[in-house]
Amino acid sequence: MTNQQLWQAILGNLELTLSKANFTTWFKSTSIIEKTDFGIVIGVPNAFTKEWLQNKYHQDILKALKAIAAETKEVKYQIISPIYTPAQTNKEVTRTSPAKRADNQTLNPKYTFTTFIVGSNNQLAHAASLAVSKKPGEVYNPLFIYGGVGLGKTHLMQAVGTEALKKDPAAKVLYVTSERFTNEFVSAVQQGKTEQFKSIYRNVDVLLVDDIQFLAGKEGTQEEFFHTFNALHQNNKQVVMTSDRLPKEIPAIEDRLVSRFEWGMIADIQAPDLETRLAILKAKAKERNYNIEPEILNYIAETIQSNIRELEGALNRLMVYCQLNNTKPTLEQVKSILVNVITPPKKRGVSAKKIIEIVSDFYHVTPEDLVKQSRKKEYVNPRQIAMYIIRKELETSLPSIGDFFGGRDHTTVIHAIDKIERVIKERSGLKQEIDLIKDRIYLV
Amino acid sequence: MKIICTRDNLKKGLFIVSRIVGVGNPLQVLNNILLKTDQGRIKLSSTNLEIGVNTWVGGKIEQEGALTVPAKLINEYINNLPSDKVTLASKDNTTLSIESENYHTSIKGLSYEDFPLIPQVTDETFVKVDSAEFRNALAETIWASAANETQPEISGIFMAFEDDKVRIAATDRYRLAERTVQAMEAARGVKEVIIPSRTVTELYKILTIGKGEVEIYFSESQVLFKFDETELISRLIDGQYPDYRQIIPKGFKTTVDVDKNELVHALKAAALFAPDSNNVTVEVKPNDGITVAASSMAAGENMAKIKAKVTGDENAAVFNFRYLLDCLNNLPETTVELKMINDASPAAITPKGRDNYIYIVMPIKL
Repeated sequence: MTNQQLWQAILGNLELTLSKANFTTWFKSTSIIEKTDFGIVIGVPNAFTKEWLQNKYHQDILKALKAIAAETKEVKYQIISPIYTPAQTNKEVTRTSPAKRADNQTLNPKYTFTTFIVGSNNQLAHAASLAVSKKPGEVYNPLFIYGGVGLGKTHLMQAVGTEALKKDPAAKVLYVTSERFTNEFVSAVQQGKTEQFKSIYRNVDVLLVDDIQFLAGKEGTQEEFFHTFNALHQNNKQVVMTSDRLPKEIPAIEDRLVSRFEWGMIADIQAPDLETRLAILKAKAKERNYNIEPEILNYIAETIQSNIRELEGALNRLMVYCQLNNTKPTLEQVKSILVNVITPPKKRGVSAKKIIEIVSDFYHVTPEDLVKQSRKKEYVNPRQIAMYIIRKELETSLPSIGDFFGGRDHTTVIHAIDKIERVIKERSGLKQEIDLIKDRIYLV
Repeated sequence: MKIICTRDNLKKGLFIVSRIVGVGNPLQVLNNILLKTDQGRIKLSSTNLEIGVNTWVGGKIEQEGALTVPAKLINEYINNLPSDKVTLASKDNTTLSIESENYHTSIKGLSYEDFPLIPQVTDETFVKVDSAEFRNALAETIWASAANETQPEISGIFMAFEDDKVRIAATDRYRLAERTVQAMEAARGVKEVIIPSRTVTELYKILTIGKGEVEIYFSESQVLFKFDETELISRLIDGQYPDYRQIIPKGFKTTVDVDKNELVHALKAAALFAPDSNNVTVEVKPNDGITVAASSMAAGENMAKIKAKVTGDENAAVFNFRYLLDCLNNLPETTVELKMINDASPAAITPKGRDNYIYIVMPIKL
């Protein structure tokens, strides 16, 4: 039995015999700080508590202790420095310092390592995060996690924070989105409270910054973040950041920041494969006590491919529908319920012409370059990518794709698609590029 | 329990203990004060579990005993009582009857057995200081500590005991007040502590109602002040106080001797024209004196000239007027010295003819 478990057991025992007010006043912030074969040492927050426990509750504590661990005979008390709270404002029963309370409320307790499902797509990021949470500031500092929307970046990052807190409850963990960082910085500047701002951000043990790409173009904030980063890094405090792309690919961000982001460890999260998606769905269904046929889960996992958030959304939608109608869904029903989720309306209105424009814009060529009969390398590659995307996204027939590109033969198109598919497997950078292009296509 | 004592004695005791009670604590008894007969005197105690206070008042004990009653209620009641003599008696374990000439009262209380034990400090006296001197020193420093408690260290008051000197300092990182007090004899060792500012404020109030010596004791993370018939015990703040001495400049370029009251008037006038920013410009010129000026878009502008003896260079800087007034309002001297370097370096205020006090204030950089 650990010290904590033992103390919990004793407290549970004492709680029965004491009034609530007495119990919370005298036993909050107490713990067992040492345990030997002969006895235990109880850490208390102040001299008042020490006196009181020693003189009033000593017998009760001893009795409760003997009921659990008969061999211990001695109980001692020692003042340990409390987590600081001003007495006047101390209205709550649980004592945590004001700063700490503010920091930690942003951590969602749902996001832990145990609820994170590991697949080949996120193995590296998971392993790195786990290592970081075990030894914050010692390995991989900073940790930079990047990947697409809804793939679990925030989950992993918050898990680092939660785990670090679990290990050391006194650790100061601060989770912010880069938007909140910006807003707080701006209002600190306006109110002349930059010192306070600095003292908050530079006195943490673990700083978690979500969606760092939103710092793009905000030069003042970038500078402040740069200094914050340096201050933390120099003191071996852990920094974890997430972004939807590689540091290098974030536009309008200063080089010195980019080089710092790349300093520690960069881990990517890809879209989950079928097995991982299925595992996630099963875990979610179990978590919510939904009883669903495996083939239906299979169907959802097969049709929703890129985004875990959508996966969860589809599941929820299905469950709500079933609860409202009090039925168990059949596969046919599922298809009709999920039709909107699976082909979201935004996908409509995308044309081959638009894809060609966006691809050519991405690679800094003109749409005419893609269409004309040139076999220069800088045109061929974008052209093949454009063909690939059109085929995959719009499912246009091969001959008509050929027609878009200046009347090329359908075998040329087949060759292009085969080639891109092969290169994607060999080079993950290309997949990233294509994902970025797809994001742009559906952004507008 | 049955006690007879004068209203004024009781009032004095209640003044000391009634403020230090728990606020909003679920444990009812923390809102109460403990009345107890103790070797021929009446002992009053209260605590908020950070600070504890005991004080003894004289009276006639007719029957031994103890009881706790709500602090606010009994304090306000006794303050309103017109008669001179009061008889306090516990009816049972939970009711206190207060009898005086024409007023008959019984107050609901709680059993003394639930009242927290105020820790004892058993060590020997660490150091003794004169209470008047100590009180003056606190008056000149304690308001300079940081109000907000994000940095617990500087929210408290720093005290360093070195030989027969006590160095008291408070800072909020923008200003610093430091005062040295002569102890009555050498301290039993060298020690540096940070005392919560609430404790020091209470101590200051207690010191205003008497004369004599203050005995200071330390034990396991606690400090005890003994003064007159009162004991004040408090936790200490755990932490390292910043090494503030390095920011005190070694020398200044300009020194100004100025009448304190004139400077206060000028600053208060200027303050009206700096409602948002608190920024007041202070300019000093040899042969010309001090110019205090402020202006704002909304209010208008103001300028005041004060005669002063300026030695050294011409100088100017912008200050938060509150920071200047805080210091000036708490100095007893009529003449003060204002010392400056330039518009970006710390300035100092010292009382004329006394070298145990220095106040450092950072100018505002525009």
